[in-house]
Amino acid sequence: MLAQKTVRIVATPAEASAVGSMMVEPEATVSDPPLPAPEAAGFILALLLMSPKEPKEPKGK
Amino acid sequence: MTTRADFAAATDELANRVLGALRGAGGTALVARHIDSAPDTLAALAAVRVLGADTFSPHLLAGTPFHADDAAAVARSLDAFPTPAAGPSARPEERTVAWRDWATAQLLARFGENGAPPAAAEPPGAADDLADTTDWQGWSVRMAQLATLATPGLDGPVHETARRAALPLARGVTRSVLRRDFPTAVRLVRWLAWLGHEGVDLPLDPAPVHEHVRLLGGASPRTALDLAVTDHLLTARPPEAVRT
Amino acid sequence: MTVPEPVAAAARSMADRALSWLHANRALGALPPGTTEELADPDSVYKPLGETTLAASLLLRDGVAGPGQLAAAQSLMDFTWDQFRQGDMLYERQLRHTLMTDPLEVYAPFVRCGYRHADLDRLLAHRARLRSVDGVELLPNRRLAAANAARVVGLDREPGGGPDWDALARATWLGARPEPWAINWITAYAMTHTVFHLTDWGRLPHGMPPDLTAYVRTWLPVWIDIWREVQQWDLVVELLIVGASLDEPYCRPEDWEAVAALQHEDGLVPRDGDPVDDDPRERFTDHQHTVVVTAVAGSVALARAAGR
Repeated sequence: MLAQKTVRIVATPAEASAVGSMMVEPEATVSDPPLPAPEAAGFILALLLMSPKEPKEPKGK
Repeated sequence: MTTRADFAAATDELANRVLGALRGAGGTALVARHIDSAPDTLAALAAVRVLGADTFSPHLLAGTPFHADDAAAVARSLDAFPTPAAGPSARPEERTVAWRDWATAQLLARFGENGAPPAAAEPPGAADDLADTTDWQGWSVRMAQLATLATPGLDGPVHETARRAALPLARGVTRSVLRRDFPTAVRLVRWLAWLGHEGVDLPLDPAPVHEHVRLLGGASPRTALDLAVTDHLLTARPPEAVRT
Repeated sequence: MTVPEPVAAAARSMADRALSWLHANRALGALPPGTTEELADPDSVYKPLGETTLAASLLLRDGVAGPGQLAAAQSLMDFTWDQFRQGDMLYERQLRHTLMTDPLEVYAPFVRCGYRHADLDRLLAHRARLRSVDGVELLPNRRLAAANAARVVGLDREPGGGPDWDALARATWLGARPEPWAINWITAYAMTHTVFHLTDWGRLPHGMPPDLTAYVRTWLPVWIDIWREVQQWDLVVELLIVGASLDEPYCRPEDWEAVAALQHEDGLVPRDGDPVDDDPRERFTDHQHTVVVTAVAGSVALARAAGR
């Protein structure tokens, strides 16, 4: 016979808490939305009124 | 003491078993076998608790028989990790866990053979704290945590809230994809697919974003399981046809 | 929903302080002596002068700033008009480069405020009749910029009428109502400009096709959220202008108050989350564009709040 014959197991509060946190994983805190990319510079045509400045060199992240 | 890493490894292992069964591989009583073959029974039980309602997905979506031994194993996991109190004063995380356990217990009561439903089958309130979608960012993160409820055959207050919240969900999907938080995005796309499956009009086509997050979303077994359920929701006939 | 009171309060503070900064720092944006219509680096000074002109012209158009601010805006217009030698430089540049659109675009805000250059008017009218000008292969949002400048100058009242605005709108990224989750940084700027030109910077909220307005209303909250999170303030403020320009404005107090709180006492608004340099010239080069968009955002929102 399978699982149900074994002894009763109850998690410790710490173990229960660990499982609880796996059930409610938070969103990623370090987000990575679209940022200025050097590739974008080619598309910023001269004299595009009110366009952003050219992207800066990427920071050493 | 079993560590969180052990729980995570066991969860991945069970998710792979469930995925295999969804794809037609594997034999009977996959949950019970998962417990019996595990070196660490507590970790194996934790995995059942974490996957929750998704443990039933081969049965719900692919018609794989749900064995009595599986029902016993799911009941054991609910017993080993008691559901937190989920009254009005409970923290949102506790209420989220309670809703996930409710979903598991619902399916256990329906497909188990022991008759009496477990205590967690009672809904933990009216989902009032989910009804307000003004903070659609935080709300959608909670819905991502509740993605195991987005499956055919489950319905309740959380689902009612989702039916009225296609726009906040679609915004949540868009936000999480742009933030490149793909585990969250995959779970929210699953809700969007569930809404589409329910016949709700969507502000966002779920199919392309589903494929996008599949390609970018990484290869964790839990994510793969969410994607597989979404595949099913996007391609299956409307509700009746997929009920067992 | 209209423009909530806290947004109007933030908008007033943003517009007033931004204009003060542009006025106080205007000398840093002056053209080098001896500048001719042949610009080696048009982006360095010529473009910022045009942007300052645009901001000042919108404040004067909307008329919602205080009397002191309106006087400062007028003084800025006089300054930039003098920089362009009362339009001679724009005329020479347009004369030399028939197909280029920037002299027309820089001239338009002046026309909005009553500054005119007779020879340039005649040249632009001639140019507007050329199939060659119409056939230039501009990016769709750039084509809209030229079309709106022509509208402001009054060239669309020439025989043959104005452009097909709907067709121009449909040709842009926004016009396709694309997947909102696939936008990137530079495409977001293309989107904001499509809205700016279709609505003439908030003057014509109905200038956007209704389905595009609905699309922007649906996704703008997401775009503001994600770029606020990474402190891309220049883009965030452009997105605020977009919200204020919609048929039914989308102006969330928290977003506007966040930008107002970010603004330095002297009016500078940092373009992003990086430290701001102490050197006045560096500050001007780095942040002038963001201050311009902040002035525009404040003016457009105030005008909408006043029901204009």
